[in-house]
Amino acid sequence: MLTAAVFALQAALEPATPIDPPAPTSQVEILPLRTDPVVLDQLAGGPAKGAWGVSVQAGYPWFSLRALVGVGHRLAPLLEVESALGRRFSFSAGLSLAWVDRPHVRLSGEVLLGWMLQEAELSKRGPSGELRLRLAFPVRWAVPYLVLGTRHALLPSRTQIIREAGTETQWSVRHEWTPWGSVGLGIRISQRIGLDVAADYGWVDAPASVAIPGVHLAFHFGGGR
Amino acid sequence: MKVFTWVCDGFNRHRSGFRTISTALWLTWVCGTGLSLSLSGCDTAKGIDYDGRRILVVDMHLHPGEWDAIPEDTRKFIGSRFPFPLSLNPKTTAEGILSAEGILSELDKARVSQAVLFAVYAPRTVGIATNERVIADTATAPDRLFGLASLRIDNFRTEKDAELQRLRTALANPSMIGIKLAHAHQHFRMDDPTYFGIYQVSSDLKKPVYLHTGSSPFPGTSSEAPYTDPTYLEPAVKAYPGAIFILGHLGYDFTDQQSGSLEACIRLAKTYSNVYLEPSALGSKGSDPTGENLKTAMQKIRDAGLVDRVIYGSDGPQSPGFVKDYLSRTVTAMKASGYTADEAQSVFSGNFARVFRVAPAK
Ligand SMILES: [Zn+2]
Repeated sequence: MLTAAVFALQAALEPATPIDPPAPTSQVEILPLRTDPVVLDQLAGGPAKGAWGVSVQAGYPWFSLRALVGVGHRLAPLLEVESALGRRFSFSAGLSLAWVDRPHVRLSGEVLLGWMLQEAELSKRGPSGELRLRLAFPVRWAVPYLVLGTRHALLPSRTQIIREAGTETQWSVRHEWTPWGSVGLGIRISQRIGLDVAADYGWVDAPASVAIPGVHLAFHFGGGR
Repeated sequence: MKVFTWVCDGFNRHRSGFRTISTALWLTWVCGTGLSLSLSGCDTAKGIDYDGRRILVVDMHLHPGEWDAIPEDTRKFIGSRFPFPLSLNPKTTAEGILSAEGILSELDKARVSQAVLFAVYAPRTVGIATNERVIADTATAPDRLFGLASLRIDNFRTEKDAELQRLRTALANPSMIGIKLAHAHQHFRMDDPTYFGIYQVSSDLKKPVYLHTGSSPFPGTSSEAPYTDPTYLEPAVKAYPGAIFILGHLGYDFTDQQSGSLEACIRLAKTYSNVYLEPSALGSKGSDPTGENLKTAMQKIRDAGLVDRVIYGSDGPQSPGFVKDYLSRTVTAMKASGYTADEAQSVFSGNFARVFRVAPAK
């Protein structure tokens, strides 16, 4: 099912093959510059100018949607929506920048700002931010990668004390820290399509809490390459 | 003065209401957390390996409950202590472990052969788990599950005789092998003779009394010494030599994660032959992250020659895997403080069988 969807999308994204070969001309042929497969850009960050990509990730407990577009100098604005089991959400915008971009190594950093909300027995809402490092070692069709992140959310809470003399409202803010790590393997299906599978560990509300590791499968597609 | 809390964390609209935490789960969630996920459970052989010897384990301190019967504050408290992402669906997680089936499954994972479920009547603080519910739960596995009955004391001024009679009725069920009290959560002083009739029932029926000792971080609990320090229990211990008093949590100070009234517990047990000790909850990951406090407590008990007065309990089920994890932490603490296999056998099952007169599970 997934495979069929992948190929359908691939067909849609790849330029149609011309029915008639173009007539030979005397013009000099311009060779395209090297472009990176979308799976590498999505997993390692910092796509080239004009290259864009979207990642759709599903797993336990994390689901996410991530979009990047390169604007030059290996800098890319990005948008991310993430959910854990449909009970916790974050909406973030940020920037990705690759510092190291060699044929077999790419290292990038990301900064994101957004809003986090959790609708569970203990609901949480507040501004959030994250710093991330992405490191990948592309070899042929494989893109082994590592993500390390530190997420922060500020969670305000209000306590109202009702005395006979009147009502007093107290505000306090709590900091929730979520260190993050993912290790996975990206697979290039074509320049514009890829997959990845990874293990994730998001230690939500560390260090006081305990978290169970997760896994995900993601589908990446894009263009401009 | 009333304090209303609009949920910790977030602009949400839930009014947590009076600072009443509740239910049967309570205490423990209080008593901190020890959260781990257990993935074992296929091997059904019961018992632990202790220095090469298989020792049966009885966990004398578990709380059954129903999620919907738990007040909102407590549900939040509990939910926040489940491992992420189980904390996102706490009802599903809780119902999986608080039912009789859930508790049996947690016992199997920990290879614990028998356990005691607590009834709780603390409507102003931690809520209610009725004697009837506990009796029904024990009936699902009569050779493995036993119960401690409890009673309301908030209406004692007018309903004392009726409450004591209800307690006797519950204790008439053979699965109900003792009485559970928590002065800090039920708001009565340990030295208040108004309630000494409860110890008379214990003495008459030869069914031990388990008491919460030490502080509790739950909102609404009484934290003053007459409610938490077992020194205040001494007049009752002296007056009712036929009643057995089991001092739960070794007087641990859960608020500051310190030994609290441990010395008082040890002194009482040394002085009175009807005083026993139960080391639940204090050694959990949440209440004693390094395990040092539990180790020190077990060491002091052994040094005081009180190994035959210790009855093991965890204060679970708390969260999936807690029963197993707490057992493992206790074994570690005991090995580190030099308990022999014979001594471990006394702590984990021998003393329980003797005091409660319950035959080990087959
Ligand atoms: Zn308890």
